[in-house]
Amino acid sequence: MHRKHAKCPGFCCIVPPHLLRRIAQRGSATQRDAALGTLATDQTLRLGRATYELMEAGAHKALLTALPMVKQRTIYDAGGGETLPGKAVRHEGDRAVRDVAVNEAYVGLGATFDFYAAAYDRNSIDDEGLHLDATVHFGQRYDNAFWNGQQMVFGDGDGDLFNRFTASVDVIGHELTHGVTADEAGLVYMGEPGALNESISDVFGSLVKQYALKQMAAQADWLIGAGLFTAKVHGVALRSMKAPGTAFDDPVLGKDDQPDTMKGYVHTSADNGGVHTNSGIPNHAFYLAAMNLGGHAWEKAGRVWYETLRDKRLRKTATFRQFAQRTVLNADQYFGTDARKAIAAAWAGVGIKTA
Amino acid sequence: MGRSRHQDGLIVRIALSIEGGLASFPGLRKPVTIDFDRLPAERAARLRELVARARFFSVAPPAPATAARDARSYVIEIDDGTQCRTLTFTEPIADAPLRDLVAEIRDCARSVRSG
Repeated sequence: MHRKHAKCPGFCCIVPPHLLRRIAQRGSATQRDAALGTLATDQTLRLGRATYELMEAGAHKALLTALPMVKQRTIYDAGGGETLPGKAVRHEGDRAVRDVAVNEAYVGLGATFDFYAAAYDRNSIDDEGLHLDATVHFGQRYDNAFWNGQQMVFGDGDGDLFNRFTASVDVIGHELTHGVTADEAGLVYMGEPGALNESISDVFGSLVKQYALKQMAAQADWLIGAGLFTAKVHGVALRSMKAPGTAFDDPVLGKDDQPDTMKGYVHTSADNGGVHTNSGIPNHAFYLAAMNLGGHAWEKAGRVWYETLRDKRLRKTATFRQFAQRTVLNADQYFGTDARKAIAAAWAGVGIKTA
Repeated sequence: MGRSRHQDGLIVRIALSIEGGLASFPGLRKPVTIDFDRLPAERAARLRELVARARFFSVAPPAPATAARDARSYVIEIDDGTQCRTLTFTEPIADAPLRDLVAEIRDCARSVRSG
């Protein structure tokens, strides 16, 4: 049989094996054949280790470009249990099913993938085409959604205070962005870097929704999780980026305790040092930046935040101020002086000096 | 004498507070106390059975989750009259008996909160 690797594009002979395996799993038919052929026969990989090490970075980049930017979604049903991932009920390309939670999860994963691809040329969570998995109907009357490090998990809500958690596309964007952050900056989930981690999920969760609706910054509601509360709850959403601390005030859930400036920073040991509370500060800074810059929020403010998330100089333990300083530098680099001033003013508006 | 009350299943109180999750809800962080004197007998028996099955008073404290984001943590205190233990469980909870116990306590607490 004629060896397929004879047709292999030039990069195949210098690709690390783990990437060849990935291409074999996810690439086009031609790429798959080439990768399998190379894996099976090309012993020169080991012999040419010195060359490979020198060229690995470039080869990796070439491969990522070669990987198709194609959604691969699978939705699972936990059936009210808490074992993950559950039974696969809708794969990529399948028609809609009767279960609305399954369809909402499928569409929400797609909207998030499309947003990152169109706005930032990002190929899924890891920028390498990672398959997107989600489990719905997790637990009994379970009122939460979370990212377990590998996939999304949605409860149905208790029906008393919370509706099903697939109902809000920005929440889906929020959860998947936790995967992006883990893949890029790796911000530790504690204290200020933890609150930044949460805020970045809110920023891009909101942008997923704004992009889907093609909204200008001034048209957006800047709410996270609108529609998740039942009519019984005194509140409009989980959080407000426009006005942190005002999203709900309810006898059972309590009052939204998010601060909007550093003056209100909450020092606590609960919730990993208040990651869901203090995220209100960088959330509001992003809102102010987007409003200062105008237009579509994902184009300038979002781009600056995205490039900062990918900035190799951003530490895993970044404070609000360190993150803010990097956004100002990146604003200057990508969009010039006016953008730099607009973003510095936004941070100043929440009590963070960047100069 | 010699047998602790919990061995007889005579748990008197369970307290739960919920931290984290997708959002900060100050109301859910406040501990909710499940008083066994006020529970329907069937539900109290079910809870006692789950506490025993999960070996709540002897199980090793669960390691905190590291990769999960927006997962809830459940701080659970159980008092059987002779001993009191507090454990924190963060989702996803791998151990099935502990997972079942947390789910039942969560449901009981919901009933208490809603009056």
